[in-house]
Amino acid sequence: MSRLYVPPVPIPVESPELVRDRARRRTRGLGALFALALLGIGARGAVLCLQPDTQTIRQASVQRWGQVTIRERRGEVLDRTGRRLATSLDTPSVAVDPVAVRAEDREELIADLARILELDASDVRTKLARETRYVRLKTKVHPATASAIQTLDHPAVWTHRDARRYYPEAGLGSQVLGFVDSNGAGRGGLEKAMDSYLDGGQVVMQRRRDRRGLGVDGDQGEHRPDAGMTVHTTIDRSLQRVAERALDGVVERHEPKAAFAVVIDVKTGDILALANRPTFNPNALGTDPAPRRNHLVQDAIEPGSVMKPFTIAAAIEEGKLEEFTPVDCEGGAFYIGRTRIRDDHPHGVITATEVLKYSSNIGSAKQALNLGPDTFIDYYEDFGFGHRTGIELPGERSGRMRDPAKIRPIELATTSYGQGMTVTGLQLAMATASLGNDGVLMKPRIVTEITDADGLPAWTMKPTPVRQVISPTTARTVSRMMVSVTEPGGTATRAQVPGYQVAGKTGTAEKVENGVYSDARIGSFMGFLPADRPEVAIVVSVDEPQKGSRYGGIVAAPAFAEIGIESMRILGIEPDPELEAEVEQLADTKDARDPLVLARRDGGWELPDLRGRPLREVLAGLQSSGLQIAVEGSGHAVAQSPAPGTPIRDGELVAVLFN
Amino acid sequence: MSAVPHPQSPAMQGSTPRAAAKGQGWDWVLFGTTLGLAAFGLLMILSASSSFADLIYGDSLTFVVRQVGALCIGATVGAGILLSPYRTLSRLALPAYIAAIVGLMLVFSPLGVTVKGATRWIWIGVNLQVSEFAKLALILILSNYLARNEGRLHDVVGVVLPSFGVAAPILLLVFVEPDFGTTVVLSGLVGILLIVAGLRLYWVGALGAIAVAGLALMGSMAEYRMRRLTSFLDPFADPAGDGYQVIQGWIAMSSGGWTGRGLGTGVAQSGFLPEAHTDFISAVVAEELGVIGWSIVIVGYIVLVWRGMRVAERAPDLFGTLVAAGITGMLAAQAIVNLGVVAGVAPAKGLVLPFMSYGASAAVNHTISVAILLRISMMRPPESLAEARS
Repeated sequence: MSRLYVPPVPIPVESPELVRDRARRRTRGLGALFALALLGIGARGAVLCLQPDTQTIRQASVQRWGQVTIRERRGEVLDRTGRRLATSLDTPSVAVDPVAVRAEDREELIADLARILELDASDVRTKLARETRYVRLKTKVHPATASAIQTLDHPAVWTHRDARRYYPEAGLGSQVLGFVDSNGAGRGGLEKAMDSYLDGGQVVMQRRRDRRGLGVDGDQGEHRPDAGMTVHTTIDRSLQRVAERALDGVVERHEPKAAFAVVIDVKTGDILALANRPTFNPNALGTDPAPRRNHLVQDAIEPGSVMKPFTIAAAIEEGKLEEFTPVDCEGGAFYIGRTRIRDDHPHGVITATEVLKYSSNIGSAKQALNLGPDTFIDYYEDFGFGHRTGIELPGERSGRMRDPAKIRPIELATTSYGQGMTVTGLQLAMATASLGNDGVLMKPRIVTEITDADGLPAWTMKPTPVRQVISPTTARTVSRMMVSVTEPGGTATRAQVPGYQVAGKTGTAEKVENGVYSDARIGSFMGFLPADRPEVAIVVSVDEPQKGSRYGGIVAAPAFAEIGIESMRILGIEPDPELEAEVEQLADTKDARDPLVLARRDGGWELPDLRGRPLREVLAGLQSSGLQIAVEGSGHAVAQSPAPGTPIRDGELVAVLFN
Repeated sequence: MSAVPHPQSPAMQGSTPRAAAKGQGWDWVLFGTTLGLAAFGLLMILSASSSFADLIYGDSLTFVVRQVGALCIGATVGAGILLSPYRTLSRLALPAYIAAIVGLMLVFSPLGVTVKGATRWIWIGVNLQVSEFAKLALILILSNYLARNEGRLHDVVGVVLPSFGVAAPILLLVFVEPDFGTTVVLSGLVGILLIVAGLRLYWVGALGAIAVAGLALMGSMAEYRMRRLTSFLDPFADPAGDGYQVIQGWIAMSSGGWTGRGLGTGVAQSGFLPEAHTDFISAVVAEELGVIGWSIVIVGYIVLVWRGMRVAERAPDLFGTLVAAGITGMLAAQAIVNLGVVAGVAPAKGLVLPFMSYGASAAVNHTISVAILLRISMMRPPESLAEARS
């Protein structure tokens, strides 16, 4: 090997043995370091697998479980014939995974999506350009739109199931039904009371999802798309509509603060209709809570004269009174201690029936005084006043009844005609129904049955008698007496239902405001029909009518009649043949004449010619004037005193002979 | 010109006794471990990518087929190396070095392919990641140079500094792609080779300090690097951004437990975990096969390191020792950094997990690398070692 001269290397070359040994040592050292690092990382990884920290777990649950828990479909609420009152609509949303869209069919997909979803094509294009794997294109689409999307069968596009509560009848019976809040929880009405049954649950279903929201490994846990149970109610959709419409008429005529009506099946205690004004549309919730109030259940009001039939019933049941027992009404003023009670229309001695017919406070008070506080209050309580009915609706009030041990005679007297106590409209309706049900008080029923997804009953409620309050004989007697209220001369001829006898009672309660009786009134009418074979009991109350009259016989009775007529038609109850003939006869003569109008004269009235006019027209015409009318016979008027054209003042007596 | 060939350097190999060059059996444990990791990798790639591949390409086997193809190419080249004389390795060093530099420069030619702002590939019918092969070229050329200067590593000016000159073109070209992660790995390889070649330990310490300073400097040059460098410390500081991938990896692992959810049932790769079948495949292993699967991977790499370093120890000459140590170091460093990123103890680098991650260029490079290890293992150890062991 020939090479140039190399000067001595200043640094000596190490021997190969030294170099190799050192290399081996260092190789081993590096290997050990690498192995140690791998072991450390391995241990760290095992910890991450077995004991992940809380932040990881939370993040995992948020993205994998929290988002995937779906609320099961809420159950439906049906009326008594199976028509939907509340249901849940599928309102799916449509999403896309932009990564999975291939360039070759991109434009076609954009066109399809824009067409089906009615979106702007450029909008869809922008969304598909996003660097993500999940873009929501549209929410709350129609189920038909969702199925159109599904028929595209594109791997990048899919639909989410989602449901929205929907009330097909909009505002119909909205206080009974209630509504569902944004969290899917029932609020108010049956939605709240039956929430545990209607709610399909949201924990039942567990499903892991991938980032696009698709199920990864199938359902875990039991998924029941129809897990919510179906609530079968006693509400009759048609009758409910009638009640709502009748209240609309009341609102239009009298502009009250509130009005409410309820229709009860007297034999079963079923609530066929329950309507409130003001009202709301649960499909478009506002923020005002006032229209959501179910006055019939949630308000305890002073009832007034509608309590008199129950006072009379107690007296008859106790053998203290009979149908035609004379009662001295003291000429309109009666002292209890130093307190005077009075009748608006003074009477002398009248029959027990007439006490109801003319609504005499004095006649009523005497019965309560005669019975004594314990017996009398017992009867009221037996009729259900002062106790919750147990209806499956939220917020029920019990009303307030005076304590018989502490009651003073004047309080006993006022209680007999519904002052100094409070009741709910529903209590009143149930007690009224008991008079038409041979004295048996029923528990009100709003839900008959709750069925599960398989249609099997999970909960049922049979008609439930609470107690026999009065004997059937007493009940029928009181019914007959109450018919007089709607007959000529009674306080509520406007409650008449052509072709059917109506047993009823008016009430005009003074409202207590700030502890004192105010000028405000609640006009009510309660009753049942047909009086001789009762089917339905109806209560109508009008709270603070602003326009027109304030009297129950005028503000509430027409709505009662309207509901009564339609309920007879809807329930298919045959009219009374005799009364039907009279209806036709009336219809013949009524239109033939000028309407009966009283003309004002010298602060009083000028008495018109009544001859030839039918009984009910005469009564209706004179009733609102405050005149006293003495009626003899029936049919058409043949004679009158004073003579036609005579000036006459309030409270004076007009005698009319009918033949 | 201080690089005078040592009498026993590879350049002089032709004169070594025939007996020493005569082969022995290769390292079966190394071979088996590599094969096992590659097979396991294919299984996991299939599990982690099938739904994604189906979505993108309409064929759930797309990635698996490509990976198998890459492994076959690597195995073919590897077989050639195994059948060639040992000397071929040192003779390949210079051509490989030149090819790597040319290839890395081609990246900036019209052939270059840019993805997410980094130009790391050239298109020659397939996308080729040149920096993968540059690692191997660097190991070969530097091992060759250092072996030629055996025993002179204390000459810092005459030997060590020129070695940096050898490495510099490759490092610089990779750095400007930019490929920060691979630059770090390449720097590490230079360090490993110098250490094994006999660099004085105080110089090792000094170089380490310089490396750390260099890292900090490079990190500060680009904000995204600095963020990536530090975000691993607390991924939950930005769970939707920098920390997202690591958190998703942890979530995947957290649902693994001891035995995992079962192959193919992982949720992570269904869109939650980015790079599930590449950089984060070990998280999918942990999710689907639990601690058991994770441990198999860890043990696999420890065995790989053990056998690789054993090959280095028993290599017939310094060149073989350096090449084997370099290759083992390369595989170990990639595994440690990749697994470290998943475990949250290293900053995200975008490094693949050897034999497990999907990545064609890496698969070819790693297969060839192991073939070189096996070729070295076929050589009889030098007599001094054989005596020491006998």
